[in-house]
Amino acid sequence: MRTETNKDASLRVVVAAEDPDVREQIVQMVQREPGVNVIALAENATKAIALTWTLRPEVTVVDSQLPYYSGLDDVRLSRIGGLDTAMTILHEIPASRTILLSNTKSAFLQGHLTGSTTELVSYTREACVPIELRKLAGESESERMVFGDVWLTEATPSGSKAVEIGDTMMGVGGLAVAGGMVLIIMMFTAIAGAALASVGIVTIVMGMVIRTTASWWNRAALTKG
Amino acid sequence: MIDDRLLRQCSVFKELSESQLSRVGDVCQSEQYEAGAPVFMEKSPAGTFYVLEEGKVALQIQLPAAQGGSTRRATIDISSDSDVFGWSSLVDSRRYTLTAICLEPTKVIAIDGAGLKALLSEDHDIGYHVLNSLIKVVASRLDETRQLLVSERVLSL
Repeated sequence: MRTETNKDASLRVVVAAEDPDVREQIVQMVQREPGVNVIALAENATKAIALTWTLRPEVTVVDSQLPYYSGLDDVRLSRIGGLDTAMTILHEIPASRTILLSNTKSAFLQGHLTGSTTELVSYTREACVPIELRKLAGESESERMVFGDVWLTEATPSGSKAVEIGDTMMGVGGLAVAGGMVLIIMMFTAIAGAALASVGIVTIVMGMVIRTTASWWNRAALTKG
Repeated sequence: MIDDRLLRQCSVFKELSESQLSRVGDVCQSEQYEAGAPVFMEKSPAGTFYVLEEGKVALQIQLPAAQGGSTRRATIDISSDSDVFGWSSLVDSRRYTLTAICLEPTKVIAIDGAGLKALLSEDHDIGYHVLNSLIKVVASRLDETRQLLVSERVLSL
């Protein structure tokens, strides 16, 4: 029974997904929530149920395309064990909460390609709602099994500020070049105009360098997770 | 009103002409289900044949109950876009042999079983094409099930 004194204790999670990259992505995603700790990983239904029975995690995250024993490439039906795993945990470990994910692999792949971050959401009657694992595990009235998915969000990495600075510099540099051109045309201010245009060009170039570097850095950071 | 193009994407109806698809469309309606909701339960009256438009549906069979234990279900297939399920509505069993549970928000084309059977009986051309295509779907599923049984048997040796 969860009590107020356990509020600060680490929330223990077991993750079950066949693909090791998908497992790792789920781990990184859930551990973004403070106080959440993934204590074990399972690559099939049999192991997931055994681990959950032994370790009694507060939450288990299960991929719907989990094989019972081993996924076989030419056998589509070898990867349909996720729902049964979740229902077994629901039946045998009443205190645990289970999240069943529908489209993990395709969502993470899409996230890599677009540079978006991923988050865990649950399908409610009205919409998709981000899941807070501590809240899910802490509320006795919450659903014991949640149907959810991995959703992509806008990429908001820490380097986006640098991208904005680069964009601003390019904009200001462009205005300086235009202003310098106008002054040059006026002949008697040609020297000032040339100087302003030169400063504008340098500013544009610096802005492009900052933006490109920041974008590359952001993408590398997201890919690394 | 169901868009005939959606029906065309389904393997069971892809051989039909525009006019034939339109006649099938007359006995269809669109339905939506939340994640976790059942489309139908095993042993309930089988009145509707379904084409999955969007989402995922797990098809489960009831397991024999252990002595003193509760009944449980096992997933035998997961249907995704353009798959068909609820075949029992087209045969004389009159009860669904499986339970269909949505794994995510799901949209289906619900086809009235009695209406479709009447259409297949009345227009033999439609009847032939639909049943011929359905046999192929069933054969494919049987083949997949066989592959799974054999592979699990090999793994357990």
